[in-house]
Amino acid sequence: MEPVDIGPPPKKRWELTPEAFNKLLSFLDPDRERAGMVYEKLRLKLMKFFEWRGSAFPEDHADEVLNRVTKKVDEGEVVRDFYSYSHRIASLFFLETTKDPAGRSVPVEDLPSIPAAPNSTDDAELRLECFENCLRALPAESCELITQYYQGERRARIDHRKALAERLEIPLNALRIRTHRIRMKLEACVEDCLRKSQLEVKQT
Amino acid sequence: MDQLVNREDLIKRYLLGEMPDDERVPFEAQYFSQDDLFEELLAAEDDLIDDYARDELSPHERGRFERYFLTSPKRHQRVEFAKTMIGSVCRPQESEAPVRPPPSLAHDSWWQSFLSLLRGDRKITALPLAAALALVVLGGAGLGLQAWRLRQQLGEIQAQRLPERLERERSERAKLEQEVARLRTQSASGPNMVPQPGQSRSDSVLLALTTGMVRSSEDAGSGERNKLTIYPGLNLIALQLKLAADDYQSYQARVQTDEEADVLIQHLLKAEDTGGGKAVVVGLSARRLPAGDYIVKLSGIKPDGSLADVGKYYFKVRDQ
Repeated sequence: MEPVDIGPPPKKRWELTPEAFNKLLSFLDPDRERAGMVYEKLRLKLMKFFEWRGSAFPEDHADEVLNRVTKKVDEGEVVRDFYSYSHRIASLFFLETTKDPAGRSVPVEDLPSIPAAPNSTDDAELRLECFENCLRALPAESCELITQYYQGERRARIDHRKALAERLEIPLNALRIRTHRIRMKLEACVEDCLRKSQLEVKQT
Repeated sequence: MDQLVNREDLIKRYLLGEMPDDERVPFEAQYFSQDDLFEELLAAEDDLIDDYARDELSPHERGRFERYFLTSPKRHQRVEFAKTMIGSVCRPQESEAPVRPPPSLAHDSWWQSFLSLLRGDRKITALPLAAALALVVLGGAGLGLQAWRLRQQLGEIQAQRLPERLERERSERAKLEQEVARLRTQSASGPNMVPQPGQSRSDSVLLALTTGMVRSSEDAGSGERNKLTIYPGLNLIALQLKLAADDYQSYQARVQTDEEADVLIQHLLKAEDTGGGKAVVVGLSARRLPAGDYIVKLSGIKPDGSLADVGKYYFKVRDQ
Protein backbone atom coordinates (compact mmCIF):
# COMPACT_ATOMS: atom_id res chain seq x y z
CA MET A 1 0.00 0.00 0.00
CA GLU A 2 1.29 3.43 -0.94
CA PRO A 3 2.08 5.62 2.08
CA VAL A 4 -0.20 8.59 2.31
CA ASP A 5 1.31 11.95 3.14
CA ILE A 6 -0.78 13.39 5.88
CA GLY A 7 1.50 16.38 6.52
CA PRO A 8 3.37 17.26 9.71
CA PRO A 9 1.92 15.97 12.95
CA PRO A 10 -0.25 18.54 14.66
CA LYS A 11 1.49 20.53 17.38
CA LYS A 12 0.67 18.99 20.71
CA ARG A 13 -1.52 21.26 22.78
CA TRP A 14 -0.34 21.91 26.32
CA GLU A 15 -2.65 20.47 28.90
CA LEU A 16 -3.06 21.48 32.48
CA THR A 17 -1.63 18.92 34.87
CA PRO A 18 -2.14 18.69 38.65
CA GLU A 19 1.60 19.30 39.10
CA ALA A 20 1.52 22.49 37.03
CA PHE A 21 -1.55 23.70 38.88
CA ASN A 22 0.06 23.04 42.26
CA LYS A 23 3.14 24.90 41.11
CA LEU A 24 0.98 27.89 40.20
CA LEU A 25 -0.76 27.85 43.57
CA SER A 26 2.57 27.69 45.40
CA PHE A 27 3.75 30.60 43.29
CA LEU A 28 0.67 32.64 44.21
CA ASP A 29 0.98 32.10 47.95
CA PRO A 30 2.70 29.54 50.16
CA ASP A 31 -0.58 29.18 52.04
CA ARG A 32 -2.83 27.04 49.88
CA GLU A 33 -6.08 28.61 51.05
CA ARG A 34 -4.86 32.12 50.35
CA ALA A 35 -3.46 30.97 47.02
CA GLY A 36 -6.89 29.61 46.13
CA MET A 37 -8.43 32.98 46.92
CA VAL A 38 -5.93 34.82 44.73
CA TYR A 39 -6.63 32.36 41.93
CA GLU A 40 -10.40 32.85 42.21
CA LYS A 41 -10.01 36.61 42.29
CA LEU A 42 -7.90 36.55 39.14
CA ARG A 43 -10.38 34.27 37.42
CA LEU A 44 -13.20 36.67 38.21
CA LYS A 45 -11.17 39.60 36.89
CA LEU A 46 -10.44 37.72 33.71
CA MET A 47 -14.07 36.73 33.23
CA LYS A 48 -15.23 40.29 33.67
CA PHE A 49 -12.42 41.53 31.40
CA PHE A 50 -13.73 39.34 28.57
CA GLU A 51 -17.35 40.06 29.39
CA TRP A 52 -16.78 43.83 29.38
CA ARG A 53 -14.96 43.53 26.08
CA GLY A 54 -18.02 41.83 24.60
CA SER A 55 -16.66 38.27 24.30
CA ALA A 56 -19.17 35.57 23.65
CA PHE A 57 -17.53 33.06 26.02
CA PRO A 58 -15.96 34.93 28.93
CA GLU A 59 -15.63 31.92 31.22
CA ASP A 60 -13.92 29.75 28.62
CA HIS A 61 -11.60 32.56 27.69
CA ALA A 62 -10.71 33.23 31.32
CA ASP A 63 -9.85 29.55 31.78
CA GLU A 64 -7.71 29.55 28.64
CA VAL A 65 -5.72 32.55 29.92
CA LEU A 66 -5.26 30.84 33.28
CA ASN A 67 -3.97 27.77 31.47
CA ARG A 68 -1.49 29.89 29.57
CA VAL A 69 -0.30 31.63 32.71
CA THR A 70 0.04 28.28 34.47
CA LYS A 71 2.05 26.95 31.56
CA LYS A 72 4.45 29.90 31.70
CA VAL A 73 4.94 29.48 35.45
CA ASP A 74 5.42 25.72 34.96
CA GLU A 75 8.08 26.41 32.34
CA GLY A 76 9.93 28.57 34.84
CA GLU A 77 9.20 31.99 33.42
CA VAL A 78 9.92 34.76 35.90
CA VAL A 79 6.68 36.60 36.64
CA ARG A 80 7.11 39.68 38.78
CA ASP A 81 3.63 41.17 38.79
CA PHE A 82 1.17 38.35 38.44
CA TYR A 83 -1.91 40.51 37.74
CA SER A 84 -0.23 42.74 35.13
CA TYR A 85 1.24 39.68 33.48
CA SER A 86 -2.17 38.00 33.34
CA HIS A 87 -3.68 41.17 31.88
CA ARG A 88 -1.08 41.17 29.09
CA ILE A 89 -1.77 37.52 28.28
CA ALA A 90 -5.52 38.21 28.34
CA SER A 91 -5.14 41.18 25.96
CA LEU A 92 -3.12 39.09 23.52
CA PHE A 93 -5.59 36.24 23.72
CA PHE A 94 -8.45 38.64 23.13
CA LEU A 95 -6.75 39.75 19.89
CA GLU A 96 -6.49 36.09 18.89
CA THR A 97 -10.18 35.55 19.48
CA THR A 98 -11.09 38.55 17.35
CA LYS A 99 -9.18 36.96 14.45
CA ASP A 100 -10.92 33.62 14.99
CA PRO A 101 -14.43 33.82 13.50
CA ALA A 102 -15.78 31.41 16.11
CA GLY A 103 -14.81 33.64 19.01
CA ARG A 104 -15.14 37.00 17.35
CA SER A 105 -17.18 39.57 19.13
CA VAL A 106 -19.69 41.49 17.05
CA PRO A 107 -19.20 45.24 16.56
CA VAL A 108 -21.67 47.15 18.67
CA GLU A 109 -23.23 48.82 15.66
CA ASP A 110 -24.08 45.41 14.19
CA LEU A 111 -25.79 44.16 17.29
CA PRO A 112 -29.56 44.15 17.41
CA SER A 113 -31.20 46.31 19.99
CA ILE A 114 -32.65 43.94 22.56
CA PRO A 115 -34.65 45.55 25.32
CA ALA A 116 -34.73 43.47 28.46
CA ALA A 117 -37.29 40.79 27.95
CA PRO A 118 -40.12 41.05 30.44
CA ASN A 119 -40.88 37.69 31.94
CA SER A 120 -44.31 36.21 32.02
CA THR A 121 -46.36 37.05 35.08
CA ASP A 122 -45.83 33.55 36.50
CA ASP A 123 -42.05 33.78 36.11
CA ALA A 124 -42.04 37.20 37.70
CA GLU A 125 -44.07 35.91 40.66
CA LEU A 126 -41.81 32.96 41.13
CA ARG A 127 -38.74 35.19 40.92
CA LEU A 128 -40.25 37.51 43.50
CA GLU A 129 -40.94 34.64 45.88
CA CYS A 130 -37.40 33.35 45.43
CA PHE A 131 -36.08 36.85 46.03
CA GLU A 132 -38.06 37.34 49.21
CA ASN A 133 -37.02 33.96 50.57
CA CYS A 134 -33.38 34.65 49.75
CA LEU A 135 -33.59 38.08 51.34
CA ARG A 136 -34.96 36.54 54.52
CA ALA A 137 -32.19 33.96 54.52
CA LEU A 138 -29.53 36.68 54.65
CA PRO A 139 -28.04 37.63 58.00
CA ALA A 140 -30.22 40.35 59.56
CA GLU A 141 -27.52 43.02 59.11
CA SER A 142 -27.12 42.32 55.41
CA CYS A 143 -30.86 42.22 54.90
CA GLU A 144 -31.32 45.58 56.59
CA LEU A 145 -28.40 47.13 54.75
CA ILE A 146 -29.58 46.08 51.31
CA THR A 147 -33.16 47.10 52.06
CA GLN A 148 -32.09 50.55 53.14
CA TYR A 149 -29.55 51.00 50.38
CA TYR A 150 -32.12 50.53 47.65
CA GLN A 151 -34.91 52.54 49.26
CA GLY A 152 -36.46 55.55 47.57
CA GLU A 153 -36.54 57.27 44.23
CA ARG A 154 -33.71 59.16 42.52
CA ARG A 155 -32.76 62.15 44.71
CA ALA A 156 -34.17 60.60 47.88
CA ARG A 157 -32.20 57.45 47.18
CA ILE A 158 -28.94 59.38 46.83
CA ASP A 159 -29.60 61.25 50.07
CA HIS A 160 -30.51 57.98 51.78
CA ARG A 161 -27.22 56.44 50.78
CA LYS A 162 -25.19 59.42 51.90
CA ALA A 163 -26.93 59.41 55.26
CA LEU A 164 -26.45 55.67 55.61
CA ALA A 165 -22.72 55.94 54.81
CA GLU A 166 -22.36 58.76 57.35
CA ARG A 167 -24.10 56.75 60.04
CA LEU A 168 -21.92 53.76 59.36
CA GLU A 169 -18.89 56.04 59.24
CA ILE A 170 -17.66 54.63 55.98
CA PRO A 171 -17.14 56.35 52.60
CA LEU A 172 -19.98 56.12 50.14
CA ASN A 173 -17.89 53.99 47.83
CA ALA A 174 -17.17 51.48 50.58
CA LEU A 175 -20.91 51.28 51.20
CA ARG A 176 -21.51 50.62 47.49
CA ILE A 177 -18.98 47.82 47.47
CA ARG A 178 -20.32 46.31 50.68
CA THR A 179 -23.80 46.31 49.20
CA HIS A 180 -22.52 44.85 45.94
CA ARG A 181 -21.10 41.84 47.79
CA ILE A 182 -24.42 41.18 49.49
CA ARG A 183 -26.25 41.64 46.20
CA MET A 184 -24.01 39.05 44.51
CA LYS A 185 -24.97 36.50 47.15
CA LEU A 186 -28.61 37.40 46.74
CA GLU A 187 -28.47 37.09 42.96
CA ALA A 188 -26.77 33.70 43.20
CA CYS A 189 -29.39 32.53 45.70
CA VAL A 190 -32.29 33.67 43.46
CA GLU A 191 -30.83 32.01 40.36
CA ASP A 192 -30.31 28.82 42.33
CA CYS A 193 -33.88 28.94 43.62
CA LEU A 194 -35.25 29.50 40.09
CA ARG A 195 -33.15 26.66 38.69
CA LYS A 196 -34.40 24.28 41.35
CA SER A 197 -38.01 25.34 40.77
CA GLN A 198 -37.69 24.81 37.03
CA LEU A 199 -36.09 21.41 37.60
CA GLU A 200 -38.94 20.41 39.87
CA VAL A 201 -41.47 21.48 37.27
CA LYS A 202 -39.66 19.50 34.56
CA GLN A 203 -39.47 16.36 36.70
CA THR A 204 -43.21 16.26 37.25
CA MET B 1 -16.31 66.07 43.82
CA ASP B 2 -15.46 66.76 40.16
CA GLN B 3 -12.88 64.01 40.36
CA LEU B 4 -15.51 61.61 41.62
CA VAL B 5 -17.91 62.52 38.82
CA ASN B 6 -15.12 62.10 36.25
CA ARG B 7 -14.25 58.72 37.66
CA GLU B 8 -17.86 57.58 37.56
CA ASP B 9 -18.15 58.85 34.02
CA LEU B 10 -14.97 57.02 33.06
CA ILE B 11 -16.27 53.76 34.51
CA LYS B 12 -19.62 54.15 32.80
CA ARG B 13 -17.95 54.78 29.44
CA TYR B 14 -15.86 51.66 29.94
CA LEU B 15 -18.85 49.50 30.81
CA LEU B 16 -20.80 50.78 27.82
CA GLY B 17 -17.85 50.09 25.49
CA GLU B 18 -17.28 53.75 24.71
CA MET B 19 -13.67 54.04 25.83
CA PRO B 20 -11.07 54.30 23.07
CA ASP B 21 -8.32 51.65 23.02
CA ASP B 22 -5.57 54.00 24.15
CA GLU B 23 -7.53 54.71 27.36
CA ARG B 24 -9.00 51.28 27.77
CA VAL B 25 -5.81 49.21 27.96
CA PRO B 26 -4.18 51.22 30.79
CA PHE B 27 -7.54 51.37 32.57
CA GLU B 28 -7.82 47.59 32.44
CA ALA B 29 -4.24 47.17 33.65
CA GLN B 30 -5.19 49.39 36.57
CA TYR B 31 -8.16 47.31 37.68
CA PHE B 32 -6.17 44.11 37.29
CA SER B 33 -3.69 45.39 39.85
CA GLN B 34 -6.08 47.37 42.07
CA ASP B 35 -8.78 45.39 43.81
CA ASP B 36 -10.53 48.57 44.96
CA LEU B 37 -11.03 49.80 41.42
CA PHE B 38 -12.21 46.39 40.29
CA GLU B 39 -14.81 46.26 43.04
CA GLU B 40 -15.88 49.77 42.15
CA LEU B 41 -16.43 48.61 38.60
CA LEU B 42 -18.55 45.70 39.79
CA ALA B 43 -20.64 48.04 41.92
CA ALA B 44 -20.95 50.51 39.02
CA GLU B 45 -22.17 47.65 36.84
CA ASP B 46 -24.93 47.03 39.40
CA ASP B 47 -25.86 50.71 39.29
CA LEU B 48 -25.97 50.69 35.51
CA ILE B 49 -28.27 47.68 35.50
CA ASP B 50 -30.49 49.31 38.13
CA ASP B 51 -30.66 52.57 36.19
CA TYR B 52 -31.72 50.64 33.10
CA ALA B 53 -34.31 48.70 35.06
CA ARG B 54 -35.66 51.95 36.55
CA ASP B 55 -35.60 53.62 33.13
CA GLU B 56 -33.23 56.27 34.42
CA LEU B 57 -30.64 56.11 31.63
CA SER B 58 -30.45 58.76 28.93
CA PRO B 59 -31.72 57.64 25.50
CA HIS B 60 -28.13 57.37 24.26
CA GLU B 61 -27.04 55.31 27.27
CA ARG B 62 -30.12 53.14 27.00
CA GLY B 63 -29.43 52.37 23.34
CA ARG B 64 -25.81 51.66 24.13
CA PHE B 65 -26.78 49.45 27.07
CA GLU B 66 -29.13 47.40 24.91
CA ARG B 67 -26.63 47.01 22.09
CA TYR B 68 -23.41 46.55 23.99
CA PHE B 69 -24.39 45.26 27.39
CA LEU B 70 -27.53 43.20 26.97
CA THR B 71 -25.88 40.65 24.75
CA SER B 72 -26.13 37.49 26.80
CA PRO B 73 -28.91 35.60 28.59
CA LYS B 74 -26.96 35.99 31.82
CA ARG B 75 -27.13 39.76 31.58
CA HIS B 76 -30.83 39.61 30.81
CA GLN B 77 -31.22 37.61 34.02
CA ARG B 78 -29.36 40.33 35.92
CA VAL B 79 -31.78 42.93 34.62
CA GLU B 80 -34.70 40.73 35.67
CA PHE B 81 -33.16 40.39 39.10
CA ALA B 82 -32.79 44.18 39.37
CA LYS B 83 -36.43 44.68 38.39
CA THR B 84 -37.54 42.19 41.02
CA MET B 85 -35.41 43.80 43.68
CA ILE B 86 -36.55 47.29 42.79
CA GLY B 87 -40.17 46.16 42.88
CA SER B 88 -39.72 44.43 46.21
CA VAL B 89 -37.21 46.36 48.27
CA CYS B 90 -37.03 49.74 46.67
CA ARG B 91 -40.54 50.97 47.11
CA PRO B 92 -40.43 54.50 48.47
CA GLN B 93 -41.03 54.66 52.15
CA GLU B 94 -44.33 56.06 53.34
CA SER B 95 -42.61 59.14 54.65
CA GLU B 96 -39.22 60.47 53.80
CA ALA B 97 -38.00 60.04 57.34
CA PRO B 98 -34.24 60.32 57.80
CA VAL B 99 -32.56 57.02 57.14
CA ARG B 100 -31.74 54.89 60.14
CA PRO B 101 -28.94 52.38 59.89
CA PRO B 102 -29.54 48.79 60.87
CA PRO B 103 -29.31 48.68 64.64
CA SER B 104 -26.49 46.20 64.67
CA LEU B 105 -24.51 48.27 62.19
CA ALA B 106 -24.96 51.57 63.92
CA HIS B 107 -22.21 52.84 66.12
CA ASP B 108 -24.58 54.53 68.56
CA SER B 109 -26.42 52.03 70.70
CA TRP B 110 -30.02 52.74 71.75
CA TRP B 111 -28.98 53.82 75.19
CA GLN B 112 -26.42 56.25 73.76
CA SER B 113 -29.17 57.80 71.67
CA PHE B 114 -31.36 57.82 74.74
CA LEU B 115 -28.69 59.65 76.75
CA SER B 116 -28.09 62.11 73.96
CA LEU B 117 -31.78 62.94 74.03
CA LEU B 118 -31.53 63.55 77.76
CA ARG B 119 -28.60 65.84 77.08
CA GLY B 120 -30.69 67.87 74.66
CA ASP B 121 -31.79 71.41 75.38
CA ARG B 122 -35.49 70.70 75.63
CA LYS B 123 -37.08 72.92 78.22
CA ILE B 124 -38.51 70.14 80.33
CA THR B 125 -36.94 68.36 83.22
CA ALA B 126 -34.90 65.30 82.43
CA LEU B 127 -36.54 62.92 84.90
CA PRO B 128 -40.15 62.88 83.64
CA LEU B 129 -38.80 62.78 80.10
CA ALA B 130 -36.60 59.85 81.02
CA ALA B 131 -39.58 58.08 82.53
CA ALA B 132 -41.69 58.80 79.46
CA LEU B 133 -38.91 57.68 77.16
CA ALA B 134 -38.35 54.55 79.20
CA LEU B 135 -42.01 53.69 78.67
CA VAL B 136 -41.68 54.40 74.98
CA VAL B 137 -38.55 52.28 74.78
CA LEU B 138 -40.15 49.40 76.65
CA GLY B 139 -43.35 49.72 74.66
CA GLY B 140 -41.33 50.00 71.47
CA ALA B 141 -39.33 46.93 72.38
CA GLY B 142 -42.58 45.05 72.91
CA LEU B 143 -43.92 46.25 69.59
CA GLY B 144 -40.61 45.49 67.91
CA LEU B 145 -40.70 41.97 69.28
CA GLN B 146 -44.25 41.55 68.10
CA ALA B 147 -43.36 42.90 64.67
CA TRP B 148 -40.41 40.55 64.53
CA ARG B 149 -42.66 37.58 65.45
CA LEU B 150 -45.18 38.61 62.82
CA ARG B 151 -42.41 38.86 60.24
CA GLN B 152 -41.22 35.39 61.19
CA GLN B 153 -44.76 34.05 60.88
CA LEU B 154 -45.19 35.77 57.54
CA GLY B 155 -41.93 34.25 56.38
CA GLU B 156 -43.10 30.81 57.45
CA ILE B 157 -46.44 31.23 55.71
CA GLN B 158 -44.76 32.41 52.53
CA ALA B 159 -42.28 29.56 52.71
CA GLN B 160 -45.22 27.16 53.00
CA ARG B 161 -46.94 28.87 50.06
CA LEU B 162 -44.01 28.30 47.72
CA PRO B 163 -44.50 24.51 47.35
CA GLU B 164 -48.24 25.12 46.86
CA ARG B 165 -47.53 27.65 44.13
CA LEU B 166 -45.04 25.30 42.52
CA GLU B 167 -47.60 22.54 42.63
CA ARG B 168 -50.22 24.80 41.04
CA GLU B 169 -47.71 25.91 38.38
CA ARG B 170 -46.78 22.33 37.67
CA SER B 171 -50.35 21.26 37.15
CA GLU B 172 -51.09 24.32 35.00
CA ARG B 173 -48.05 23.70 32.86
CA ALA B 174 -48.82 20.03 32.55
CA LYS B 175 -52.33 20.92 31.45
CA LEU B 176 -51.02 23.41 28.92
CA GLU B 177 -48.54 20.90 27.57
CA GLN B 178 -51.23 18.24 27.25
CA GLU B 179 -53.46 20.66 25.41
CA VAL B 180 -50.70 21.73 23.05
CA ALA B 181 -49.88 18.07 22.39
CA ARG B 182 -53.53 17.30 21.69
CA LEU B 183 -53.80 20.25 19.35
CA ARG B 184 -50.69 19.17 17.51
CA THR B 185 -52.21 15.80 16.77
CA GLN B 186 -55.41 17.34 15.46
CA SER B 187 -55.58 18.45 11.91
CA ALA B 188 -55.26 22.19 11.56
CA SER B 189 -58.52 23.61 12.65
CA GLY B 190 -59.07 25.57 9.47
CA PRO B 191 -59.35 29.20 8.74
CA ASN B 192 -61.90 30.18 11.30
CA MET B 193 -61.44 28.89 14.80
CA VAL B 194 -64.99 29.59 15.92
CA PRO B 195 -66.94 26.37 16.45
CA GLN B 196 -70.02 26.10 14.33
CA PRO B 197 -73.44 26.07 16.00
CA GLY B 198 -74.09 22.73 17.57
CA GLN B 199 -70.43 21.88 17.53
CA SER B 200 -68.89 21.44 20.98
CA ARG B 201 -66.59 24.23 21.98
CA SER B 202 -63.07 23.28 22.81
CA ASP B 203 -61.29 25.21 25.51
CA SER B 204 -58.24 25.42 23.27
CA VAL B 205 -57.43 26.23 19.67
CA LEU B 206 -54.45 26.02 17.41
CA LEU B 207 -53.76 28.81 14.96
CA ALA B 208 -51.26 27.99 12.23
CA LEU B 209 -49.35 31.03 11.01
CA THR B 210 -46.94 31.43 8.16
CA THR B 211 -44.23 34.03 8.06
CA GLY B 212 -44.83 36.76 5.55
CA MET B 213 -48.57 36.35 5.95
CA VAL B 214 -49.42 40.01 6.12
CA ARG B 215 -52.03 41.76 8.23
CA SER B 216 -55.49 40.71 7.18
CA SER B 217 -56.52 44.16 6.02
CA GLU B 218 -53.63 44.14 3.57
CA ASP B 219 -54.14 40.70 2.15
CA ALA B 220 -57.54 39.45 1.14
CA GLY B 221 -56.20 35.92 0.64
CA SER B 222 -54.92 35.44 4.13
CA GLY B 223 -57.48 37.69 5.75
CA GLU B 224 -59.56 34.94 7.30
CA ARG B 225 -56.75 32.54 7.93
CA ASN B 226 -55.01 34.65 10.56
CA LYS B 227 -58.12 35.64 12.47
CA LEU B 228 -58.86 34.22 15.86
CA THR B 229 -62.17 34.54 17.60
CA ILE B 230 -62.21 34.36 21.35
CA TYR B 231 -65.36 32.71 22.59
CA PRO B 232 -66.48 32.08 26.16
CA GLY B 233 -64.70 29.08 27.62
CA LEU B 234 -61.65 29.38 25.39
CA ASN B 235 -58.59 29.10 27.62
CA LEU B 236 -55.58 28.13 25.61
CA ILE B 237 -54.30 29.33 22.27
CA ALA B 238 -51.45 27.56 20.56
CA LEU B 239 -49.77 29.59 17.85
CA GLN B 240 -48.03 27.33 15.37
CA LEU B 241 -45.32 29.38 13.68
CA LYS B 242 -44.28 27.61 10.49
CA LEU B 243 -40.60 27.75 9.60
CA ALA B 244 -39.13 27.97 6.13
CA ALA B 245 -35.93 26.41 7.53
CA ASP B 246 -34.92 25.15 10.94
CA ASP B 247 -31.54 26.85 11.26
CA TYR B 248 -31.30 27.28 15.02
CA GLN B 249 -31.18 25.02 18.02
CA SER B 250 -33.65 27.19 19.85
CA TYR B 251 -35.89 30.16 19.27
CA GLN B 252 -37.40 33.13 21.04
CA ALA B 253 -40.94 34.19 20.27
CA ARG B 254 -42.16 37.63 21.18
CA VAL B 255 -45.90 38.32 20.99
CA GLN B 256 -46.69 42.02 20.73
CA THR B 257 -49.70 44.19 20.12
CA ASP B 258 -49.67 46.26 16.93
CA GLU B 259 -48.37 49.10 19.09
CA GLU B 260 -45.38 46.90 19.95
CA ALA B 261 -46.34 46.43 23.60
CA ASP B 262 -45.10 43.05 24.80
CA VAL B 263 -47.72 40.46 25.62
CA LEU B 264 -45.45 37.49 26.08
CA ILE B 265 -41.90 36.40 25.44
CA GLN B 266 -40.95 32.75 25.38
CA HIS B 267 -37.35 31.63 25.23
CA LEU B 268 -35.61 28.42 24.30
CA LEU B 269 -38.41 27.11 22.11
CA LYS B 270 -37.59 24.13 19.92
CA ALA B 271 -38.75 23.56 16.37
CA GLU B 272 -40.98 20.52 15.94
CA ASP B 273 -42.10 18.38 13.07
CA THR B 274 -45.69 19.09 12.19
CA GLY B 275 -46.04 16.72 9.31
CA GLY B 276 -46.15 19.63 6.88
CA GLY B 277 -42.70 20.90 7.85
CA LYS B 278 -41.08 22.36 10.93
CA ALA B 279 -42.80 24.81 13.25
CA VAL B 280 -42.37 26.45 16.61
CA VAL B 281 -45.40 26.27 18.89
CA VAL B 282 -46.14 29.02 21.39
CA GLY B 283 -48.86 28.37 23.96
CA LEU B 284 -50.57 31.25 25.69
CA SER B 285 -53.61 31.90 27.73
CA ALA B 286 -56.60 33.43 25.88
CA ARG B 287 -57.03 36.02 28.61
CA ARG B 288 -53.77 37.60 27.49
CA LEU B 289 -55.21 38.45 24.10
CA PRO B 290 -57.93 41.08 24.09
CA ALA B 291 -59.39 41.95 20.69
CA GLY B 292 -56.85 43.63 18.44
CA ASP B 293 -54.00 43.10 15.99
CA TYR B 294 -50.94 41.17 17.06
CA ILE B 295 -47.53 40.37 15.75
CA VAL B 296 -45.26 37.49 16.71
CA LYS B 297 -41.57 38.15 16.16
CA LEU B 298 -39.64 34.92 15.97
CA SER B 299 -35.87 35.00 16.45
CA GLY B 300 -33.28 32.25 16.34
CA ILE B 301 -30.93 32.10 19.34
CA LYS B 302 -27.31 31.95 18.18
CA PRO B 303 -24.70 30.00 20.18
CA ASP B 304 -23.42 33.25 21.72
CA GLY B 305 -26.91 34.08 22.97
CA SER B 306 -27.57 36.87 20.49
CA LEU B 307 -30.72 36.85 18.39
CA ALA B 308 -31.26 36.60 14.65
CA ASP B 309 -34.56 37.56 13.01
CA VAL B 310 -36.42 34.58 11.59
CA GLY B 311 -39.77 36.05 10.70
CA LYS B 312 -42.85 37.99 11.66
CA TYR B 313 -46.30 36.48 11.97
CA TYR B 314 -49.44 38.55 12.11
CA PHE B 315 -52.84 37.68 13.49
CA LYS B 316 -56.00 39.39 14.56
CA VAL B 317 -58.12 38.61 17.61
CA ARG B 318 -61.76 39.45 17.82
CA ASP B 319 -64.34 38.75 20.49
CA GLN B 320 -67.37 36.73 19.59
